Amino acid sequence: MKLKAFLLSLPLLVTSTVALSDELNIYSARKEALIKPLLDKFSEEHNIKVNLVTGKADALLTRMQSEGEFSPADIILTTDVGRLERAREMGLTTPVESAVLNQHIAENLRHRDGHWYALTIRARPIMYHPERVNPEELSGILELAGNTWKNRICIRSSGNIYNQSMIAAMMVKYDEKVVQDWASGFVKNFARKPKGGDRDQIKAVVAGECDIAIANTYYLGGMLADSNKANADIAKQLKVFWPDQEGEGTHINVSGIAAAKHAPNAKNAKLLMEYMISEESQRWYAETNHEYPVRDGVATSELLQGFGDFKAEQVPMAKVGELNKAAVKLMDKAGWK
Amino acid sequence: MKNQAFFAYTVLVCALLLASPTLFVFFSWLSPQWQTWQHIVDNLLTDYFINTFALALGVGVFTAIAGTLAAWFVSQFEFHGRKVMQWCLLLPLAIPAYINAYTYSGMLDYFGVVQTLTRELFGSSSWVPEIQSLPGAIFVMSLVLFPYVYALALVAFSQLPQSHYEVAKNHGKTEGQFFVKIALPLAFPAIFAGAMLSIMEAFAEYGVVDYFGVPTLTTGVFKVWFGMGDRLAAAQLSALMVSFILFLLLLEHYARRKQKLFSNKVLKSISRRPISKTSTALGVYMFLISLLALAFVFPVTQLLYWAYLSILAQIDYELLSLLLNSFKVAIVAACAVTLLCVFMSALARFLNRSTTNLGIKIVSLGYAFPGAVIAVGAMIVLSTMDRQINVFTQWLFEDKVGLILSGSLFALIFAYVVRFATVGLQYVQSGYLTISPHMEEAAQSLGKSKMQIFTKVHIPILSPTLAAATLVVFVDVLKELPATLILRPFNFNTLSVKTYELASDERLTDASVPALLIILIGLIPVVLIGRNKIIDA
Repeated sequence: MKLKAFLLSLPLLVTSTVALSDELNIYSARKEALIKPLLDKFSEEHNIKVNLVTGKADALLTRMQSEGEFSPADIILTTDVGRLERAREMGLTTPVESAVLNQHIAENLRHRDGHWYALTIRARPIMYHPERVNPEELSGILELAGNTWKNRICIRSSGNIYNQSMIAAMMVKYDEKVVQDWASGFVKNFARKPKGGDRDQIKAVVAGECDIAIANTYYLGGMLADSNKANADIAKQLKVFWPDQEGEGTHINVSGIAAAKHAPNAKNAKLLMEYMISEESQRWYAETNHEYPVRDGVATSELLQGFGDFKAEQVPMAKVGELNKAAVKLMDKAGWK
Repeated sequence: MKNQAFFAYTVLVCALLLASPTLFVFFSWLSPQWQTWQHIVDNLLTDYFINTFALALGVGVFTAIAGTLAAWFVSQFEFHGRKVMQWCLLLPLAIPAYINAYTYSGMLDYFGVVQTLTRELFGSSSWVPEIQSLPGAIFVMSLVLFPYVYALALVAFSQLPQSHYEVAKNHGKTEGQFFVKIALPLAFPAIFAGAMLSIMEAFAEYGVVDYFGVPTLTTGVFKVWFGMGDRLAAAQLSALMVSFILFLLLLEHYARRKQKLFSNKVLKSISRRPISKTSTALGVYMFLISLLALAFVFPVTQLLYWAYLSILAQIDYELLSLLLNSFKVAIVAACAVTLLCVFMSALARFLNRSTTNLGIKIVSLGYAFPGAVIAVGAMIVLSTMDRQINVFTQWLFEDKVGLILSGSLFALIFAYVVRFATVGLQYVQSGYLTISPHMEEAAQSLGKSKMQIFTKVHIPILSPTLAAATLVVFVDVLKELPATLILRPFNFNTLSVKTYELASDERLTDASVPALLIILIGLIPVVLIGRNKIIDA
């Protein structure tokens, strides 16, 4: 009997249709826990049913591409500017004109025609052990290729998007030859072959395998706020150094939002984009993952304030996205595993 | 005769449909991306080759040895706790490889329990091996994969007839000689099939090697696809990778062809014997217990500790719905895979034609592809079909039906079946090898129809293998990540997705709760099988 009931329920299980009334469909490369509560609130306030699927950015873009004009997606949420720019290049986005968005998002943090907008900023500074490193020794990222840093640096592999974007941003700022030479020297200074995630680099510094690590601030923040107190105790031992404050500013990346080209609910899509830039949303959205809000005047979280203020680099984000492929090749040539 | 041809082509069509996502990958070579390839060859390929082959070889050898020995001891000898051990050794299957990697890293890194303890005891912990390395990757992957070999070898060993043992004994052969000279060759196809599964999985594994910083062909596929945005070159790289697997499968085919040895259920299987020497018994215990401890007890204990730290924040309804979703898709996919594999294998058995055998070989390829590559292949195939359907309905009703295939759970189940049909086939096919054609001939001479032979001869003999296959696929689907992530419909999450989302943000403490739930559900079929003694031939 049970089996029969089970078999009868199969068709119900495998077909699900998306109704097209007041809805909003989101493809998100940002993790569910970091977006869902905000979407629930939006849903309640505007009486719009929000459908969400999360995944890796490139996979979601491939999915949209193969769905073509029948794609149900209205909104793409993703981390890293490289992906936003790639979505545009693949013809998956549509320009959104919005005075609200233009007013609150700095020019270098959005696409010139409104194909995508940044929602949060993520910074990738140097983290050092105060007993082994005198902050006076540190200045800019370019200086890390020097001999004094031999066997002292920990950073993850070149397959990682944060590193790819960091190098791409350097290629915008400096000559390719300069960056290539720098990368070769920098790689020689690695204390160990790149492995693990950003948290592992932080741990390796505390363990004494290296003296400095390059990692995104929200990993340090995540460790400090971890439910496992041991992680907080490790993270506390490191200090953040903001490189290139005298020069171009510290490397940053963004997480952002774009409207889908074939969005069946384009009006709702714009509504959400503007909702995301409101002060309240900005505060929650940035704070929940220890990131920096893009909107001026929204305070950063207490935890982030502990890392100090910094000057961010001003490179046009779109350019960083374009150079992603070239950056990967440059790192491969430098022998960055 | 006409009927036969019809069935033969049915199998082939089934196979081609299942293989369509993978064939798509091979077609990428129609427009070679020379520029990207130049870069790959100049800078990356040597590393990729060395690491991939070392990983595959290491995992293959390790799983074959551990799985075979464990199955041998458990199936042949009587000792305290044997029954519990017999099914406990299947438990590691429930642990996703990348979770094992994260967990072992957590245990063995500088701040982990092992190094902290050794520092306290001996003052230094520098001798603790580095887990984030190639040997480390072989280690953590082998620990979760050896049950493939174990389960298949166990069935094979349990079906060895008592007469073989007695003859060997009468000729003065020792236990060791019997194992090496007689049992091992007879069980070889099963062991090889299990090791092949492990090797394919090693080829396709992404999570572990990416985290450990071991560049392999699979990390290369993702670097080219995501990093360089070159989807075609990525597909070409995975096609290259799968060519090696193809070669291995041909080897296996050759090995099996030489091994037309059948054992029959009707014969009494070897009765278990006590271990005579105390030192041997001690050795067996040591081996089995340390294997189980390393592969299951240690990592699960670590996860339990993490879960204890974070569980209060996480118990909610969402967790329950994740659990139900995981369970639902896993059971549907597992049943679909087993039914399909039995269907194809039975037809292949009756027809014994090159077309059907070819079909089975084609389907066997799915497992060697990284899950994400299969998922994209499936997505492209299904959404192309969806677009045609929509164009058609728009023309007919002036309305579109939406993405009924690619936007629904159908896509997910389809991808699971494509990916795990290999597992099902390995099991079912090695099960069929133990059915002697004489039995079919006998049934036939009694005037039984093919259908009757299938239900009365094949199924009873195959049932332990079928149960094992369903179990393994169920657990595999439960753990599966890339295809689930890429193909699931709106508002549908599973435990593995949740685990991944937390783990990829390096929130291991929080990821431990859903990870443990995956393991917990994975235990259900294992316990069922253990209790019903389905594999206790």
